[in-house]
Amino acid sequence: MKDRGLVQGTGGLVVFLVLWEGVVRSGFATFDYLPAPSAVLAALGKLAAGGAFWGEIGHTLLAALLGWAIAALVGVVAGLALGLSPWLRRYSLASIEALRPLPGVAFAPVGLLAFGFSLQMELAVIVLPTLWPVLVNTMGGISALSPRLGEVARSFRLGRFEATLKVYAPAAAASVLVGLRLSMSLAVVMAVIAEMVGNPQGLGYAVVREQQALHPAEMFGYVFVIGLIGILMNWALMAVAKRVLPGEFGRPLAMEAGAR
Amino acid sequence: MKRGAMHLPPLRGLAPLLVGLAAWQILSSGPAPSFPPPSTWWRAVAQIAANGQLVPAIMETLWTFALGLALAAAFGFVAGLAIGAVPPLRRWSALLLEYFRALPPPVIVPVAVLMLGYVPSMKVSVIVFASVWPILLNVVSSVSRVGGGLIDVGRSMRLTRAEVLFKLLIPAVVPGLLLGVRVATPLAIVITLLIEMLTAMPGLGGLLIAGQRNFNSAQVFGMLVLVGLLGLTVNLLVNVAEAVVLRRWPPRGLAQD
Amino acid sequence: MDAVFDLAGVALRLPVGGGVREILSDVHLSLADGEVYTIVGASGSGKTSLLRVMGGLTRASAGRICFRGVPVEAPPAGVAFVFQDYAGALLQWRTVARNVALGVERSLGKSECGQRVAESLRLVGLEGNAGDYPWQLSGGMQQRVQLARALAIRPSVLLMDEPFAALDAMTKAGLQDELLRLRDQTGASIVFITHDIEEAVYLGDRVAVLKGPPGTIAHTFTIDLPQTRDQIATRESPSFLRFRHEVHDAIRGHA
Repeated sequence: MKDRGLVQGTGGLVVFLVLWEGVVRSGFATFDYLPAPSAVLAALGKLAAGGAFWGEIGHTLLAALLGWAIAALVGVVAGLALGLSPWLRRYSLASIEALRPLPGVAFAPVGLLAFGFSLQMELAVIVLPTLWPVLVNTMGGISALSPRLGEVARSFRLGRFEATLKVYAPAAAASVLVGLRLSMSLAVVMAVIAEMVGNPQGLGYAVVREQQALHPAEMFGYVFVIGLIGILMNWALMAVAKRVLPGEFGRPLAMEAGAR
Repeated sequence: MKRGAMHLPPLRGLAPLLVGLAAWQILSSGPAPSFPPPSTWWRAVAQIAANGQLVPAIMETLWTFALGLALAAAFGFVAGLAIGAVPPLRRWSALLLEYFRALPPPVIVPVAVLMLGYVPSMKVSVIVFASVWPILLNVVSSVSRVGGGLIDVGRSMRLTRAEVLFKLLIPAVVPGLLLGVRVATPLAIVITLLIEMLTAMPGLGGLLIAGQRNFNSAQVFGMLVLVGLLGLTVNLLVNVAEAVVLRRWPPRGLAQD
Repeated sequence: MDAVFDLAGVALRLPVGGGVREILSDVHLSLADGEVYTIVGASGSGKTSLLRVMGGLTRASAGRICFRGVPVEAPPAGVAFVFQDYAGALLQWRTVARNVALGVERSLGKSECGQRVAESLRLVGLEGNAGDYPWQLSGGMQQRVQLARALAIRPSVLLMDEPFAALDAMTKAGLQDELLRLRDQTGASIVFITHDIEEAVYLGDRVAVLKGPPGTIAHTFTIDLPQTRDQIATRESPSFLRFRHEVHDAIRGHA
C-alpha cells in the first residue's frame, strides 16, 4: 500500500518535470530566465566535473554541521536544565521568549562587523536560531515525562546528575530527536542565508553569484543541490540516531512541537 | 472551560536578559568597534528616525510581509482544500509538495530576482511562494484527517455538495489553517528581511545592511533589537487573532484536531 | 405492506491493495416497522459496511436494496445515521442546538426549525445544554447530541454503528434504555450494530449474526423477551441467558 503511494508520488514529480520541460521548449510561457530541466541537468554535470563545486558543498556542510553541533550541545544541556528545574525556568523563560523572535538573518550584519568574511560570521547567523528547536523540544520532552519516573529515580536513591543521565535524558530522547531534526534543516537554511548576505563562500554565495551573472541553469542547479543537501542531512541524522537509540523507533515519535 | 488565555511567562524571567544587557553596558568602558554598549543603540536608531527613514522602512516591511502572508494563507487554504479533498490528487502531488516544503526558503529569493526582476511584485511573490507550504500542507493534512467522517455525515443528512463544503469542510479546517499560519509567520518575516537585505529594496533589511556597510555597529544592533521587537509584536498579534477566531473550537489537545 | 428495508443477494466488493476484497456476500435482510434489529459480529465481519450499504453511503456491488420499495442509490430521506465516532461526527464549532439543526435548517423555517430542535433535545434530555459546545460535554452526552440530530429529521429508520462502544458501562446502560424509550415514543425502526452480544440481545427484537469475511447473515434470532426491558431483571432472566448462549454459539460457529 505504501509503495503504491511512492509510485504515484514519483509519478507526479515526473509529470511536473516533463511539463516544465515542455513549457520551456515550446516557448509557451516566456520567462526570460527559466531554464529547462534538461539544461539544469547539463549545467549540474559541468559543475560537478569542476573542483570548486565540491568545495562549495563542503563549506556549507561544514558551517551547517558546526553550527548545528554547537546549538545541539547548548540546547540539550540548557533544555534538560530548564526542563528539570522549575526555578531556572521561572527565571529565564521570559528572556528566551524575548530572544526567540529574532530572525537569524538579522544577525548577518552583526556577524559581518564582528568577524568579517569568515566561517565565524556564518556561525553567528546559524547558532541562535537553530538553538531554539532543540531547547524547546528538549524542555517539552522533559515536561511531558511521567511523574512516575521521578518517583522511580527517588526510590532507587539516584543522585540528581545520575538520574538525569540514566532516566530523564533517555526518556525524553524522542522529543530531543525531533528538536535535533528541526534544527538540522534550519542549520542548512541559515548557513545558506549567511552565505547569501554575508560570507562569500559556499552554496549560498554560489546561488547569488550565478544569479548576478545571469546564469539561470547553473543557479537552478545550485538550488536543487541545496534542497538535496537538506534532505540528505536529515536522512543521515536519522541513520545515526537509529544506531544510537534503537529502542526509540518502535514507539510513535512525539508530536513536532517547537515548529513555530 | 475557559480558552484563549494568554500565557505570559513570569516577568522575572527577563532577569538574565536585563542583567546581560546591563553587564554589557558597564563592561564597555572604552570604544568597542564591534560590540557597542546598549546605550549607543538607542541613539543610533533615534538618529535614523530623525532622518525620516525609520517609519517608512517599518511600514514597507510590515506591509509587504502582511500582504505576502495573507495571500499565502488564501492560496494555501484554497489549494489545500482542493488537494486534500481529492485523494488521487493528494497522492500524486505528495512528493512534489514535500520537496517544495523542504526547499530552503532563502534560495527562492535569487531565483525570483532573476526571473521577475527588482519589482515590488517580485517581493510579495517570493514571500507567498516561501510561506505557502506550511499552510498548504497543514490544510491538506487537516482535510484528510477529518474530511472522511464529515463527508459521511453530510451525505447521510443529504446535504448538497456546496453545503458540505461550506458548512462542514471549511470550518473543520480552520484550526489547521491557523496552525499553518503560525508556522509560516516567522518564515515570512525572515524572507521579507532577506529580500530587502539582498536587493537593497526599501525596508528594515535595507537599514540593517546600510548600518553594516557604514561600519555603524550601534545602528546594526539597534536595528536588530527593533526587528526583534517587531517579530515579537507580530507573533503576539497572530496569537491574539488565532484565539479570537478559535473561540468556538475545542482548546488544542482536547478534540482530535 | 412493504418492509421498511429489503435486502436481497447484496454483495460488496472493494479494491484493496492490489486486488479486490469481498466484504459482503449474499446478504438477505428484511426490516419491519418499529423493530429493533441488532447485528452482531466479530471485527472484520463487515458490519459497518453493511450499514453503509443500507444507508446509501456505499454502493453495493450486487443485489437489491430497497427502502420502502424504492431502490437505494443515495442516502434516502427518512433514514438517519448515528456514527460511532461522535467527536468526529459532530460539528465541534457549532453549539449543540445548531448541531441538531444540521439536517433540518435548510428545509424548515426559522421558528419551525427552532421548535424541532427543542423537541429533539427534549427527547434525549439535553434541553439545558442547547448553548454548549460538543467538546464541553461528556462522551455519553455527545452521543445523545448525535441522536438528537438524527431524530430531528423525524426518521423512520435509525442506522446506528456501534454507537455506545466507546462509552463506559453505566453510561451505556442508560443510553440503551433511552434508545428503547425513543423507539417507543417515535415508532422508528432501528438497525443497531454492536460487537457486544448482551447488548444485542437486550436491545433487539431480532438479532442477526454476521459472519465473515465475506460478511453474510449466518443466523437470525427472534428475541421474544417481554417488550419492557430492565437492565437487572431482564439480564438475569433464563430466556435472556438462553438467547445469549445461542447467539454466542452462532458466532463461534457451533450452531
